[in-house]
Amino acid sequence: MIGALAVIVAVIGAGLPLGWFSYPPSNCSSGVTLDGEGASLLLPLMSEWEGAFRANGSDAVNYNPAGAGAAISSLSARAVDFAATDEPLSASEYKGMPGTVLTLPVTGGALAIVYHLPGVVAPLELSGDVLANVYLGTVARWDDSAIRSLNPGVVLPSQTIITVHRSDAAGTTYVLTDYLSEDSSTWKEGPGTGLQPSWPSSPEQHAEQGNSKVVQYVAATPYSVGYADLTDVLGTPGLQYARMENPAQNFVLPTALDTASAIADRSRNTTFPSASGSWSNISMVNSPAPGDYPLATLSYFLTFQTAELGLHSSLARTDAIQQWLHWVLQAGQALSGGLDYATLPSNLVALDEAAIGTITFDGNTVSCGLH
Amino acid sequence: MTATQSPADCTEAPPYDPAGRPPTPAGRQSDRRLRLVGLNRIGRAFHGLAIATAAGVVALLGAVVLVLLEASGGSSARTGPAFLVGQTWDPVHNVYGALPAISGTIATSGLALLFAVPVAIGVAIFLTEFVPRRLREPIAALVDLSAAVPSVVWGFWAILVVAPFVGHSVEPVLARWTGGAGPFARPPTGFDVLSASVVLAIMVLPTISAISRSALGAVPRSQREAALSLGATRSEAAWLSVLRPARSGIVAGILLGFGRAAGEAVIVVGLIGNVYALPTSLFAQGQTIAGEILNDLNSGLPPERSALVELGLLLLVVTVLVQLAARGIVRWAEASRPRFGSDRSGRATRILREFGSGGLPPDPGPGAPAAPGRRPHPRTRPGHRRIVRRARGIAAVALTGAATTLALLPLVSVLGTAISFGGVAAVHPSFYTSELPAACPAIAQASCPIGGIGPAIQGTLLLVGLASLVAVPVGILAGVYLSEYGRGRGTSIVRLAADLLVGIPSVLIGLFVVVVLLQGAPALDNTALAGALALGVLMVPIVTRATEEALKAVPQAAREAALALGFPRHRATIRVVLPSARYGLITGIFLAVARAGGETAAVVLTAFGSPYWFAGLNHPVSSLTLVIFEQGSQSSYSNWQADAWGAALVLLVLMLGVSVAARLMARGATRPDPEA
Repeated sequence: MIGALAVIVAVIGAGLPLGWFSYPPSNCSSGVTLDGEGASLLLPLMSEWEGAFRANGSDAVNYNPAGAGAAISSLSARAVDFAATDEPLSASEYKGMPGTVLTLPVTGGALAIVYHLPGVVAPLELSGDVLANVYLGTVARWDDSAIRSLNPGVVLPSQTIITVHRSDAAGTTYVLTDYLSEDSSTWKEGPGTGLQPSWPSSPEQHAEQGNSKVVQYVAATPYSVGYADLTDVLGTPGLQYARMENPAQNFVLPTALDTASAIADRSRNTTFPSASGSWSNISMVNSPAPGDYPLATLSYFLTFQTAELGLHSSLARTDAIQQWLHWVLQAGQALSGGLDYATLPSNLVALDEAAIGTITFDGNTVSCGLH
Repeated sequence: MTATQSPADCTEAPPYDPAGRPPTPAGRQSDRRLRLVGLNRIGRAFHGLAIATAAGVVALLGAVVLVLLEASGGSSARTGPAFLVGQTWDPVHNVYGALPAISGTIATSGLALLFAVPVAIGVAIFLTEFVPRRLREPIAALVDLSAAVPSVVWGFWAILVVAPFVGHSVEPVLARWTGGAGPFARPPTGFDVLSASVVLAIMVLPTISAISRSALGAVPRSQREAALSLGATRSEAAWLSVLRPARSGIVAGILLGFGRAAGEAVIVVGLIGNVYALPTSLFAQGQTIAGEILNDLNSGLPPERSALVELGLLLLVVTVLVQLAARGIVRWAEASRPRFGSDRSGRATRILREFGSGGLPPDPGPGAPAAPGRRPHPRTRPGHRRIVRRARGIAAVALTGAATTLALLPLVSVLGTAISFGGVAAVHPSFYTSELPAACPAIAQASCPIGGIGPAIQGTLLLVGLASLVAVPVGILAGVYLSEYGRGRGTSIVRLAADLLVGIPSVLIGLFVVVVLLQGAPALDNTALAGALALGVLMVPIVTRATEEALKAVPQAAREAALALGFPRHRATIRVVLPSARYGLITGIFLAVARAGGETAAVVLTAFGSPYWFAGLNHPVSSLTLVIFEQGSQSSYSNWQADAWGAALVLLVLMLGVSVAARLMARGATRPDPEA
């Protein structure tokens, strides 16, 4: 028995150095699997992208929707090839990175405010300020005068509001708190804007990991309110979501169209930094145009400009990263609209394409060309 | 006690030929001497190797403690004692306090014990005292089988079964009865402290009942017979002369159960609601230390990470203290166990009197048959008390029987749920060979592909295989040291280290591996290698202790015979002791493999997960438990749910299969003993 064990150990032991640590052989990518981690807001789209990208060539992408916080943490630990987030890196997060990080917007999305009110048919109308007060706990019941005055004629139940938030460090939470901070000074000075704020003690609260779980919880729990990406919300039949007040004081229901227009309008009036600069001031919420949905966001891929800082870096892997980013900006955009994400405005696509060209490996640009 | 009587340097002693041949002619003397020298070298090398691995086990424990201490430095320096009483966890403003997690841990594990202990003791009593001999084995096997259900499967099942039941059927009733006061305030949701505690109770129940059962079984038959012969009914005998002496063992089991509940992360994350706040009510959402680590470690940037490590240290201290207490209690009980001929039955008489029999019958004489509960009561008003006593007896059997039924219910339900939800996917052969499909939002439901879990099965086999490759030899060598070479203080230190390592919650092992890799080799974090490393650390102490126990069961005479034949000690160990203990060894390895294959928290923190086939040891890898946790418990896409249930079914079949095989092996190990 011991002899047999020794043989097995020897065989596997010899196998380890030979083939089990895989590094792609040539300079140009083939058969590379890139590791990405990030926001669950992007998950439905990433899931489509993964499949389509893999069908398109020999490379693949493995996306782990662990949340934006996890992704940024993994990137700084050089444990993934790219991170996906709805939050552009903050100054302190940027400082924690081992090298220059490219911030590349890849798609736009909307955050829907979902709720569960049996007996209420028409979509509720809510403002950022009221929503902030709901999460702060100062508006604790559905029939609070603040909600009633926004929804005259709607019979609201006299029930405690159950607020639902994300338990993980989430890009989705960043977008929500960004919006709440803009509309409510109490929120700004209290919990503030971030991936994982310290949630105020509203009378009833619940936390879930990932958007799909938030959606599921709200769908199952009367008198709850939560937030999630539009795709996951539309995918759940019967789920109610609110018309949100925009700066033009119109109440707008989230749609891919009004989100895309919000992103286009806001990016027209925004001076974007270069991809290697700090994007922490870029925000797509509260677009000023009358028909735009206020809770819009850009989703970003983050990757190192000097690819040797990345995971198992090699020239071939660097090539794979560039192929992947190109693919997302071109073919990938066509898939966005079908899943209720917003197609990227052309000025941002141009910005990204220029940035991808600056990625180097050990000082060399990759010269495989597109294949 | 096994190895002490023969000196360790006996490897140098034997001047005999191992094969027992007649003395060789003088011309070949030098050859023989050379061989002996060679043998001695091997013997010494083997001895040294065993000592080194044993020292390695101790060093491993030391490393876990030191690494966590070191890595938490940043946090404790900044927040100091305020960390212990702080109530917020705020990565935005970098303020961290541990009080909600500490109180959540205490509340959930305390409640879990409150639910589990009476049931577990009931099961143990029912199985050792009341059940007919023929039924004992199968029922005990079923209860033990629940211990083989991985916590991630309990958690996934509970989200679907327990949380809605507790939220819709139990909590509203409790709230109505109590008027929603105090611990019953807040509207019931089913995802709260109560639900988490119930599921933790289900998880620790088999552990506590198994330990209690062996404690009860260890009470000598003569104790029961003494009580019965004094006229006690069977239930009185169980209470007086079995339960009381077994008390210390039961308490030790309860403490170990507490340690397991406190360290469980996956179940908590699925059910407690994940709100970082003090658990002010049974129906309130909360968080525990283990849950917070599992939730936040992957996403924490360095300041938060060191705060999480500090939380982990708290948990480590608690679990180590609890284990030391359990050992202390057992040792104290062994030391104070009365010697032969002490006044046991005298005490039983006294207690029996308190118990309400109202005086004992006169001694029936040595020839009288012992027919407990049936003998005619000689007192003038016999009816009433006899009825009470008999009713108590019936009630005891009924209650413990009900406890046993209750204890078996979760296993039946989890199997039924897995078959009905996972069976759909699992019947397709392609389920075992294809990759996970794209997440399917419900809009596209009509065209949702189910896909499969091929890479997850591959990943689990790979992770467990790699971990075993290192952990099994290391564990066996350390176990050989403990049983064959160790003496005195050294042995007890190694044994203590192995015991403590077994009890360290897996989420902390994952934390340890992550911290080490981020310091030393960040590129290896989130890879198959990291996952295998974590599982290996989990397996080593299990194999070590199982090996020691298996080797100790080998009769001393076998060793002495081998040594008398001139075998050097290492050859005696390898050729005689290890082969005779093979059943025990394989049982131990099976248990360790089952533990690793069902492990989730440590794998979530280290292996990253992947929808693709194995791509290299330095790449992320999937596993069955990861699919159940990430695609099942943590998302709600319909096709992923189906896949996760399929994975749960496959994992259950594997784990239960390994557990049954280990049982059969263990029976093989004890076969020569007709009593067992």
